[in-house]
Parts: sequence; structure tokens; C-alpha cells
Amino acid sequence: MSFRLSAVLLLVLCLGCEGWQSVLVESEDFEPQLNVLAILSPDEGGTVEILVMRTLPLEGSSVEYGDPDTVCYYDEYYDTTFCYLERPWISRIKVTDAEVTLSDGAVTYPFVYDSTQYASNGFDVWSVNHAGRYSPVDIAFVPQAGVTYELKVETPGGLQVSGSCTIPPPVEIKVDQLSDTLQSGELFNVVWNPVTDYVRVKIESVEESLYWMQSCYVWEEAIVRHDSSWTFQIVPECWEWSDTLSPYEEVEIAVTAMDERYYNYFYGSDIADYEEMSFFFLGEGDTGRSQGIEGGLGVFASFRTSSVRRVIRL
Amino acid sequence: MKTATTPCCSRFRQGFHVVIPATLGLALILVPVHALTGTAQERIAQTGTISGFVRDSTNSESLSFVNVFVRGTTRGSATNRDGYYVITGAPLDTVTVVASIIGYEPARQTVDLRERPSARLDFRLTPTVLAGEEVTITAQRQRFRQSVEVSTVILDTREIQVAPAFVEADVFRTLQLLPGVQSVSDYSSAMYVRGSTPDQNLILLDGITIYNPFHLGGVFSTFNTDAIKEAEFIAGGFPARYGGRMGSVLEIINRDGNAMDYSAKANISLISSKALIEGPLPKVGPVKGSFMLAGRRTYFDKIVDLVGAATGMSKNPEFVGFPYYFYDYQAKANLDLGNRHRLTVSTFKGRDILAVEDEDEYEDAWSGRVYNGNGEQVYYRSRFNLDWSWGNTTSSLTWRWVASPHLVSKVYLAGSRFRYGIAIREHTYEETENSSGEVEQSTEELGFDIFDLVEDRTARAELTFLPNNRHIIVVGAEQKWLNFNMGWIFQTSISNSDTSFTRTDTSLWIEHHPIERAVYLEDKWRLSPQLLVKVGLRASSYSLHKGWNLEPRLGAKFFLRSDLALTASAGRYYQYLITANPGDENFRVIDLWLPAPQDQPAPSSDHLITGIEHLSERDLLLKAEVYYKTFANLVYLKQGYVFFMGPDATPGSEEVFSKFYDAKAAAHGLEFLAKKTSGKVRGWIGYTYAQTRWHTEEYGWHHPKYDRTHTLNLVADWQLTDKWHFSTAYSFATGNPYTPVLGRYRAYEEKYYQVEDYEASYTRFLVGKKNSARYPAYHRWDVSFVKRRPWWNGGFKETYIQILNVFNHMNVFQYFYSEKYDWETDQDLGIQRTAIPMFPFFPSFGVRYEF
Repeated sequence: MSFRLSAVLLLVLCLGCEGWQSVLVESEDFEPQLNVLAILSPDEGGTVEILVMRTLPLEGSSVEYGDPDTVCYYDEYYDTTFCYLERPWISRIKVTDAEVTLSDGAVTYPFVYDSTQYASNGFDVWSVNHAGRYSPVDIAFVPQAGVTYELKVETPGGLQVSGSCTIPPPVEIKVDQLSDTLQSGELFNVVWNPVTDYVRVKIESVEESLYWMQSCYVWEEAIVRHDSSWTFQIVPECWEWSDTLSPYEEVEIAVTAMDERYYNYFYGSDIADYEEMSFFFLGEGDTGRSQGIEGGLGVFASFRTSSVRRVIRL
Repeated sequence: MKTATTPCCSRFRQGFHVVIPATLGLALILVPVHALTGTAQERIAQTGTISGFVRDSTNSESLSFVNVFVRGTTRGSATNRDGYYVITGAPLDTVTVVASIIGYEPARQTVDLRERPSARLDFRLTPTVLAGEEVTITAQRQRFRQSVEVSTVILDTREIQVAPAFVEADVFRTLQLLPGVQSVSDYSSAMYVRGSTPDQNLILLDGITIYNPFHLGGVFSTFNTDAIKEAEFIAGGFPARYGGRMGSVLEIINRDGNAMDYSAKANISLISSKALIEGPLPKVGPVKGSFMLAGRRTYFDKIVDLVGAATGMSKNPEFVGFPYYFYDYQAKANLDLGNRHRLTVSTFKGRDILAVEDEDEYEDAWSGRVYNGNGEQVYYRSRFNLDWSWGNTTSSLTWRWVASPHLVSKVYLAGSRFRYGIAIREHTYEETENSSGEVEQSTEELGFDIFDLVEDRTARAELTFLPNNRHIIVVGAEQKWLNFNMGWIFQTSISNSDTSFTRTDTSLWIEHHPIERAVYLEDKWRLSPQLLVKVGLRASSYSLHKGWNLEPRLGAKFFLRSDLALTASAGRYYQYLITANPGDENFRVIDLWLPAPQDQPAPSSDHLITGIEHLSERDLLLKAEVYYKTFANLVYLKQGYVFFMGPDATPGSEEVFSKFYDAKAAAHGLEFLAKKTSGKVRGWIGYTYAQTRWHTEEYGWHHPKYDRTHTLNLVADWQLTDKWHFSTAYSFATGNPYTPVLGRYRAYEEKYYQVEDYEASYTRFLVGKKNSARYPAYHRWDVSFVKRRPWWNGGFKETYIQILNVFNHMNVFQYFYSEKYDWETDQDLGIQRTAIPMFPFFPSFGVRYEF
């Protein structure tokens, strides 16, 4: 009887042995996937962005390190040469050996890994991201409205994804319904032709680089759904101690018509992600964003954009 | 949606005009029936009726489940919760009536029914325990014989008081140790009952609905245990008189107040003190009564202030003290107007307050060139205020009228108000010298208000009809006028030499005034000596929906032997008020109550329960039950919309709280309970096997956050010696579900190709199927030692020490994933998982006085 009691007590004691700790974890049930961004737009000289990454398990670093190297530079202000120890790295997430093609049904456009943005020693640097960028072999390639493009990405290791995307017709701001000079504090409308269900409208000061020096700054942005106009009131932020207030401010009004995938990936997902987040934001994650990509993660989408400049009387 | 506001009181009066006539109508139906059944039968059968109340002689508290019988006959009855009994069929002779219950001296009275066939006999029973010791009412046997409700546990004051709890006794913590009740973490006393969420529990305090019965995000409940007389908990299959919730019922009955003598209790613990005073009201003619007043306040804020003052730390401008405290009080008064009418007035208020204030002032402190190089800031002053408070206020008036021995009416008028508010204010004033040497002044005020108001005004009338010893019929009507008001408002006000404006953005505004109505009828019917049934029907309506919903209820108890019974219960339950809290949150600061959406059917649940009960000679109750519950039309908030309004929402709209999944759920389980309520060692062992699954289109079937497959609880309360008392609670449970992290990827940023040098992507975790993994098993062992000594004026003093989580077992509250970085070698090592623990080893002590 006494032995049994001791055994039970010992068991309970052992159950209580575990303590507070952080542990490195390894993935269970992890299957690698490709994670591709492919964005096409014919506007403003054409946007053709294709980036390729892969998913990683929990264990191990996301980068591979090279030997530390001492980097020195001369600072004119201090008239001194500063040196620091840099540890070069190569991302394990970046995919550099994929075969990437885009096809419009008649012509297939091959893409190649663009190595020009990386450090000369072959390592990545922090200013460069983890994604492998692929550029079209035909540098004159510009997506065309109404055309459906087929994307294929395949790696030597057998990972592959595909997708298809149709470029929407152009969006245009109806400039005839917009006065040349706008008055600060008044309501006015931006109207455009309906192209997609999701539109981002933005008004922003043109002289962005002078943000801290100029007298006033304008920035407003909204997402408009199922509508082709936006009414808003400009309230410029002005710095009260400035004694160089300009009576005018030049702004750019831009309308970006996004297809549904574009919207879902970059805007809708912010909400969906919270589904998996804990209340105290103690960790974040999701089941992997995927819009228009078959067999993996990422987004294959298109947008159209239109912009005009106007002057605001302050 | 904004709807027109009807002035509260006129709406209330309108409803009063509806409920009271409705009840009087019911009375008009019942009284003739009563005439034809009760008294008429007695005249024909030449028998008499004896009725009355049974109370404790020391304090006049009513005693329920007292066995009252006519000696030498088989005629008898048991008192109800008000201590009222009716014996019909008594012989028209001089008879002796006996009232008995364990823990009290039996009382006898003789009455002559030959002259008048109806007699009123009130009893006052004297406790058998020694003076000064706590009296524990033990009515287990009568409950076993008389109660049809399955899944019911009644906790008396001793059971609530002795179970070890965080800092002080807590009725919710004790209930969490019962089979069928689960918790999501140590930090919350919210109850998840048989697959139901906390908002599906009907919490009643003296009949009034309490909407958010917690302090400090659920760490404490709002109920002061000293004021509680009894807590009845029904885990499912509850009868027709309860409605508006589809999970469980917790009915807290406060003490009436000692009508015989003045007495007081005081309890001083580490962070709070509470006190109770009770006594008789002055007798005026035939009017007499009693009162009870109880209050509690935490004072850790005051202790920190004192320590700050003693050490001089409070002189430091950075000293902010401890900005949080809560308090609650409850008061109750009973007035007996003769022996047929009783008026009860009850009020309760609980409040949590978090107030932070900070001021900064600089003169020439920033005498450098700032921002645009044109000016110098020469004076700066800012003030920040955070005022965050929440709590309940309730009040009620109850009129009980013993219209005849066979008919008792009760009319309730009650108001319950829950308000939650966060107000943040930041005021900035600065003087700036421009390049011309002129000083310019500017002020800026920023404000942010979040508020949630729930008001519930209830009128209820209920008739209890006791025609004979075989039937107890209850009929009632209830109407609730509800106000919901929730909003998020931002305010900006800027004034300087160039501009002056105020801008108000109402990002969320929800206002509704629904009305909930219900009528109900139930009959507790002894079909035979072996079979006791309770049939009931509730019809309810909700002004945002059309039509009435029918809620049939059935309970049955079949006695195989006098100490062994089979039980069964089934019912349908509708709920019109919901909370819009994220389903995955594991620390709930507040319940965000909303009316059920207009465009969705009302959430409902069906319960099916069956079981077996045995009560041994030694008062050991053994109980096993299986249950199956389904839930339809559940309102499951899309969690992201709470934090982000999302592009769908427009300022001032209520869309932020209108994104719901179409959800359903099912729960089944098996529960065992062995409970001993008398003797030196008391307590219970409870085991629960439970499976709860929710279904949404996005996630399919999955376990909710609170699902625990196996739960074992052991609660023991041991009187070691006359002075020493020991109690303990041990809990084991399967770990709660969580969504596992499988890997990692980088999500692309939109602005990457639009803005120079913008990072193209950021790390996110890849997660698996929702809630498909579980935390390690939960273990916790708590102990409490109490030493009791006589104290002033016949009272006593109790010194107690209690230790939570004796083995300091690390129960996981939440996993947190992050990148592990070795700063010495400047290397990223991979992903680490950190477990956030629940309660660690936590000792506390205190003193309790009663005199």
C-alpha cells in the first residue's frame, strides 16, 4: 500500500518536472513548395515582375553563411575610415535554377535568373531580398491587354507551379470630370471607367523627397470596391513652424485597378491572416497565401493604372 | 444600422403593460383550475392542506429540500428554493407535522384540521452543529428524490469556500472542477460547458442576468462568495423556465440576510479585502425584514502607493504605481408584509478600473533645431490619460405573493447594465520660436474611445401552482428590452497660428434595441412512485426576427430502487444574444455582446442527455451521464475583422462586426461524478470524456480552442482536527488544441516593385490544419490549509495559506514561435518555440474574521 502511494507520488512529481524553456523545433509533415510572385501590367512601360522562392522547414537557418570579412569605408564627415566585420550569406529561400516561361498561346517567353543585383562575390547582402528575380530574355516584352498568359515554373528538384492570368482592359481617370485646380478642404470626386472590382485610389504630393522640407504634404489612399468613383476631402499636413508656406501643392492622383487575385493577395490576406493569429499576437502564420498559383504558393496577377497631376490651392 | 431610440422608461412601462396582463391572464386560467383541482378535490375527499415556510432559526434563511411530512401518514412534501412547502391530502384531524433535514434538529408542530382544512405552519430549524461553526445544509437525499433536472450540481457555501483558488475563493473556479465544465486556461474563469462557449451560459444573480461576470479578464469572478447562499449549476437539459441561452445555467442565490441578529464577516488577503454585514430590519407593525450588504476591493494599487511613499520612489516622475483595481458590492433587503407577501430588493455593482496618467513638461529642453530647421522648440507640455473601465450594475425588485396554499406568484422587475469603455486622451501644448524670434503656440488633442454598452430591462411574472402532491406547475411570461451600443471613435483637434480644426472619425457604431419575449409552462409530474417527469414548453420571440420559436423540454427520472435512478433529458434552446469575440482568443478581457444578426436565423442547440444516479447510505452520490448536443446557425466571427476594418467596411458602419462564418457544431461526452457531501472528508472526483467539433466552410470540422478530451478532477476537503482544515484540488486534462506550425515562407510585399529599396518579402509561418495539434497535458495540484480559532464575541478567526500548482508544472498557455539568433556568432539558428506558461507555483495567505 505504501509502495503504491509512493509510486503515485513519484509519478505526479515527475509530471511536474518540466520547466519554462525555449527549444529549437523541427518540422513534422513538411513538404517543400515553390512560392512565386508574377505581376503583369502593360502600363507605364510595362511591369513584368517574376520572383521565385521556396518554403523552408522550421529547422536550420534561412541563410548559408560565408566566412566573415572585414569591410572598410571612408567617411568624409568624420574624415575617418570605419571598418566592420561582415558575414556574407546566401539565402536558402531563393530559387536561382528554375525554368520559368510565360506563354500567350502563340509565343512562349523564357525568363532567366537575374544575378546582376547580387554582390560580386556571389553572396547575398542584406539590401537584397530573399527572392530570386527572373527577367525576360526578350527585354522588349510588354504584356498586352486582353491576353491570357500561362506561367510555368519548374526546378531541377521536381518542384513546379503553373497559373494563368488575363490582363484587364485599361483604366482611365475621367479628367474632364476633374477640375484643374483643387481647393484644400473641399470635397471632390475622382471618376474612372470600371475595369475590375477592386481599385486603389491614391493622392499624394509629387515632391515626395522634400517631405521634411516643404510646407505641406498630401497623402490619402483608399480601396474602392464595386464602384467607379471616390469622393474625398484633402486635408494637407502642414508644419506649423514653417515660414515658407507655399500657397500651392502639386499632387498626383493615381487609380490602380487590381484583378481579384492581386487584391486578395495583397489586401484581403491581411484580414485572413489574423484568423490564425492568437489574440496577443504571440506568433503569426497562415496556411500559405496562394492566388492564381497552382501547386504552390504566391500570386499571379495583373493590374492597370492611370494617373493625373493636379494643383491644390492650400 | 441605427434605429430610433425609444426612451427606456416608456418602453419599460409598455412592456410592463404587456407582461403583467399576460400573467394575470395566466392566473385567471390557473385559479379556476386550481379551484377545480386542489381545494375542490380536498372538499370532496375530505382532506386538508398544510403549507408554510421552513427557515434556519439562527438567521432566518430559507431552507430548501427540507422533508416535511405528516407523522403517521404517507403525506409529505419537500420545500422548494424559497423554503416553501405544501402538503395536500392530510387527514382532517389533529395531526403532527415534522420538518427534518440533516444538519438540523427535526421540528414538530401539531395542527387541528377539523375546523379549518387549510393550515399555515412555518418552521424554524435549529442547526445541530456547535455554535460558531459553519452550517452546511445537507439536503442531498431530498434533492435526489425530488429533483428531475439532470446534470445539476448544487454547491453550498462550504464547497465554494474551501476549494483552493487563486488568491481567494471563487464560485467559477469551483465550478470548473466539475465534470462537463472546461476552461481554456488558468487565467480565465470562463466556463466552457459540454461544448458550449461562455456566452451560452445563463448567469443569474438572484434571477438577474449578468452579462460579464468577471474581473481582470476572467481571473476572478464578480461574485463575492461570502454573500452567496447557494449556487445551482445545470450543465444541460435545463427546464422551460430558463431561456435565452443554449449552454448551461448558473443560478447564484445570495443570502437573504440574517433576520434574527446582526453579524459580520471580514476577509483580508494578499491583494483584496472583503466584508459582509447582515441583520434584521426594524420591525414596523406586521412588516419585518432583513438586509445583507457585502463588498470587496482589491488594494494592490494602494499597497504600491504606500511602498512608493515609504521608499521615496513616488517622488520619481517615472513612478506610475499600480494603476488597476476592482471593486464590487451587493446589497439585498427582504420585507415580509404579513405572511403572504414578500418584497425583495437586490442590487449589485462590480467595476474594474485601469487608469493611467502621465505628464511631461520641458522648458528649453529641446533647444536644438528641430525637423525643418526653421524653428526651435522652447516649451513643451504633454498629458496622457488612459481610462479603461468595465463592469456590471444590476438591480431588481421581486414581489412574492402566496395567493393561496396552492398558488404562489412572483413578479420580477430587473435591470442589468454592462458597460465597457476605453478612453485615451493625449493633449500636447508647445511653444516654438521661429526664425524671426516670434513665439508661436500650438495645441493638439488626440482622443480614442471604445465603448460597449449592454442594457437589459426584464419584467417577468411567474405562477407556481401546486394542485396536489403529484404536480408542480410553473407558468410564466418574460419580456426583455435590450439596448446595445458599441462604438469606436477617433477625435483629432489641432490649433495653431495657421490652422484650427477638429475631426471626428466614427469607425464603428452599432446600435440596436431588440426585444426578447418568452412564455413558458412546465409541470413536474410524479406519474408513479418510480417515475418523475418534468415536461415543459417555452415559446420565444426576438424582435429582429419574425415569428416565435418553440422550445420543448423534457426531463425524466425513473427510480430503480430508492437509491438508484435512471435519468434523461432533452430539449431545444434558442439564443438571441451572442458575443463577437474571436473564437481562438485564449485570454478574454471582455465579452463583446451583440444581438444575433437580423439576416441570420437564431442560433439554437438540441440537448440529449441520459444517465444513472446512485445515492448511498453514507451520502455518497455516484453519477454517470452521457450527452449529445448539436448547435445550428452559430455566429462565428471572422477574427481578422475585429482588428482590421477591412476594405469592405466604411467608417461609421457596423461591418467590422458583421463578418461571420456560417458555423455549426456538435459535442458528445461521458461524465462520471462521485461526490461526498457529509463526514470529515468531503469532496468529489469527476471525470469527463468530451469531444467538441465546430464546422465552418473555411476550416471544415475542427476542435475549438477549449476542447479537452479527458479531464480528471479531484477535490477534497478534510477536517483534520477541530482547528485545522485541509483542502486540495488536483486536475489533469488533455492539452488544448492549437494550430501547429509546419514550416515557413516569405509573403511578398506589394510595394516591393513600386518603392525603391523596399524589402520584397517578410517571413511568415506555414500552419497546418486548424487546431489539429494539442499542447502537453495539463496538470495542477493546489492545496490549502486553514486554521480556525475562536475570536471576539463568539466569532472566529481563520488563517489560511494556499499554494497553487504545488509542483510548478509548466502548463502551456500558448506557444510562441520566433527566429533564434546567436548574437555571439552573428548567426540565425532556426526557429525556436517558447511556451508561455499558465499559473506557476503560487503561494498566498490571508485571514478571515467572522463575528
